[in-house]
Amino acid sequence: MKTYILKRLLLIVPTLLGISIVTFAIVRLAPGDPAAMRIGSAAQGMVRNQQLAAEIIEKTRQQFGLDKPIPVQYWMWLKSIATLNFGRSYKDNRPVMDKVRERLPVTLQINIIALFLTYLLAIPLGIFSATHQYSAPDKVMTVGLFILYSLPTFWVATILILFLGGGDYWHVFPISGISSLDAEHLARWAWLKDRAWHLALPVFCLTYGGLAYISRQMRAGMLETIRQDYIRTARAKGLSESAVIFKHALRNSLIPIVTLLADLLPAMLGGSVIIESIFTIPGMGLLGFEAILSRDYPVVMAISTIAAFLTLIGLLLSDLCYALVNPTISLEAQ
Amino acid sequence: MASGLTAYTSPATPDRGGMSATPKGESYWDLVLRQFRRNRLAVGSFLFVLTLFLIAIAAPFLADNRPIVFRGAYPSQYRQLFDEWRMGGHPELIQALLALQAANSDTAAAQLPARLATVERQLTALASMLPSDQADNLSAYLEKYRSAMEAATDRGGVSAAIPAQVQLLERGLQEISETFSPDRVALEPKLYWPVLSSLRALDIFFLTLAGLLMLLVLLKCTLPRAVPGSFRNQMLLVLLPPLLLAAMWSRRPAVFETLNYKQQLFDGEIAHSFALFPPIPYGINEDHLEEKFQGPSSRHWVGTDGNGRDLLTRMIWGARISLSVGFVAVAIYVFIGILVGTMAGYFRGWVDLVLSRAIEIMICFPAFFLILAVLAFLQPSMWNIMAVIGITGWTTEARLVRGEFLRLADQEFVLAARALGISKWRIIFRHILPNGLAPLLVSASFGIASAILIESSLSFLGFGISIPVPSWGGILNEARESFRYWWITIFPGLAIFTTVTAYNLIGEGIRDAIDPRLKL
Repeated sequence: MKTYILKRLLLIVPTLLGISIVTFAIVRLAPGDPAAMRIGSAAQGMVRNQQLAAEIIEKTRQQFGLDKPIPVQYWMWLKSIATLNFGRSYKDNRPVMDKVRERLPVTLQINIIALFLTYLLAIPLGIFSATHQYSAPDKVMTVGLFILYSLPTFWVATILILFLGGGDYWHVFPISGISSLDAEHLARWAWLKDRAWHLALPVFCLTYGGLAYISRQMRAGMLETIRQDYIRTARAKGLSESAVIFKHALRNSLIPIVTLLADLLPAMLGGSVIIESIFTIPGMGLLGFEAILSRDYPVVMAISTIAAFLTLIGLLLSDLCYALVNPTISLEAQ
Repeated sequence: MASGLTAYTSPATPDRGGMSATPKGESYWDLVLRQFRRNRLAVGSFLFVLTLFLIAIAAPFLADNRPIVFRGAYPSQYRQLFDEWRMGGHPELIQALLALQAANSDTAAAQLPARLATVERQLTALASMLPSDQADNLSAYLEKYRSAMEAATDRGGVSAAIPAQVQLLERGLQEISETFSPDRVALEPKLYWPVLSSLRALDIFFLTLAGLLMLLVLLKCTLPRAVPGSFRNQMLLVLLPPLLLAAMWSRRPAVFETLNYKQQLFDGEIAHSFALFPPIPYGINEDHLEEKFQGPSSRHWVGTDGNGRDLLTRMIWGARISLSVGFVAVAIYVFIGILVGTMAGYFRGWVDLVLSRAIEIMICFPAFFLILAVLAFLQPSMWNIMAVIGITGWTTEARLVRGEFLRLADQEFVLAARALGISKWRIIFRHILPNGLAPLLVSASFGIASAILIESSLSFLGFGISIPVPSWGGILNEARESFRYWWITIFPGLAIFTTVTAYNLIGEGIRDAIDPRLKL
């Protein structure tokens, strides 16, 4: 057990290196001279003298070490990101970390709410479906969740905006931002209400897909567990049905559901990109999307590295959780 | 030796809980198929997807502003061809002759046959539009070209003959220009097949393939005895003719049609006795600004967009992009997944350790963000989207294949194969892999669903292409600016949603069929 955990922790190192190499490679393979990008077309336009422009680019290359061989550049970059220094944005020359720090809370807030709602709804739904297998509500729910699972997020978001966000139909929810303009002056409860009102649609869009996925898994896991011998034993010794389900079956069927978190995390960032750019929410997703559009490579690199790192930690935690509840596991057969 | 043993070494039916009561002579896949057929929803979805594919393949015959066929005289095409010959084919030929005169070299002589062929093609096409007696006259001029060419080349390229021939040809041109000028001739009505001539080699391939497959299925259902040969031979028989036809078609000179048949037929510019249009007679990029933002009606079944283009037409053509993206992307990543998973699962040890790290790295990357970032600095094209989705999506497949190999590698049939000294590649690809394919099929059909979702999200965010043919996501992207008009948002989205649902249902169906134990 201890050796497993130790091995698992050690294996993070090559994965982290791999992540950094891939990120670095993608940005290096991108067309366009980073130095020229850094100075930007505006500056180039101002410098009429082409020779002078070339000189400036050359100096910038030296300043940022772009004239050094690729491995050296990689090493320099690795050293700087180890201290969470992702350089400065090409766009407004602000440190990338500052921008990320500004945006991260918004994305975390939305995703944590969505994740919480997902599990809060998915687990009871899954249990109900499993304990009432093949009943009418189970069938309706199965079909309904299946449909939810196949609905494209961006389409649902557009439809919600179309029908609930003004336009020619109802105007129930705001369609952009996370709070009203005067939100700062509101009292605590009013502020919270305002925030909830703004986040309702985006959070809904981020929740339903995961909800459908997790509750289906929950139903499957629960059905698997209910068939076990120890459940039959529990029933045989006369325990009440609720005690059997909630005390004996639930705990065991929850484990795989918790490890599914690792599957959900990367999908959530992808979802954030779409949802935040549709609802104009100033989070990491929108930041990344805008950075990609304006080829702001330091920001792109920072976001993908941070996201990859967070996902890696999620994976690790779920592996360790799994190892804790299932000590027979080995690295080989995983 | 090995081939004789395969039947014995790879068990046709690996024991999968409670299915030991297999009827004799039924292979594993027969059994899976039988189980799959019981699932009505999955079979229905399969038929739905099949229909979608047929619609996509037959798109030119379903929705286009070109008529499928019309009978008429077509002056403007005659004029176009005539001008092509008079100002293109003919002077180029003369130029080639003069070049031969100036430099009596082989390279100059080598150009002549191609130039002659162009002129021949142009004159034959012109002649085909004329009444028969006039056509004969025109063909007589063609003879003049041929004899002039012979005269020019026969004497070993002696330059003395060329000026006389050139003069002869120029005189010929003048005569033809007068008697056969577009203003003077009376054209003979004939049948034109504009849709057919607009098809590309790929269209021909898929059209014939679909036709043959349907024929095969029909034959099998009605006269099961009439279809000879094994399944593999039948597939070869079905694949070969489309390939040959497509190859022949691709040798056809490229035609770039810019003529607006619909307008010309309507205005009477083409005098016609009858014209058969596709059921939805609109082009994908046929703008009618006076009809923009019209709701569903009998004229436009699902309405029009901001340029007055028929939405249904765009959706039918968009199906080609959306369906093929899903298919090709998944084909790419199943291939990569099998490769990586096989290596890791069969060789184990440090190979497995390294490849598992690679898998882990890929999993950790936020796939959608990565795809966006890579697409941002590639040329926007459907092939790039397919490739990028394919390259980033293989981890699930790789893990699955690895797991299957770990599970199967120690089973008796593999040990037996190894003991018999069969090469390891044969063991991997003929013995283990076929037994591990079933779960792959499941994840591939879920994969197609998610690839279609990813592609449409990308196109929705503006990273796809929508010119000339938009994907469903691309249509939704165009709808973003005009989202007040619900039909532009609802219908393409419904297309995506139903397709994705169908693929997911098929995946569920296959999963239940291969492993009834998991059926919930």
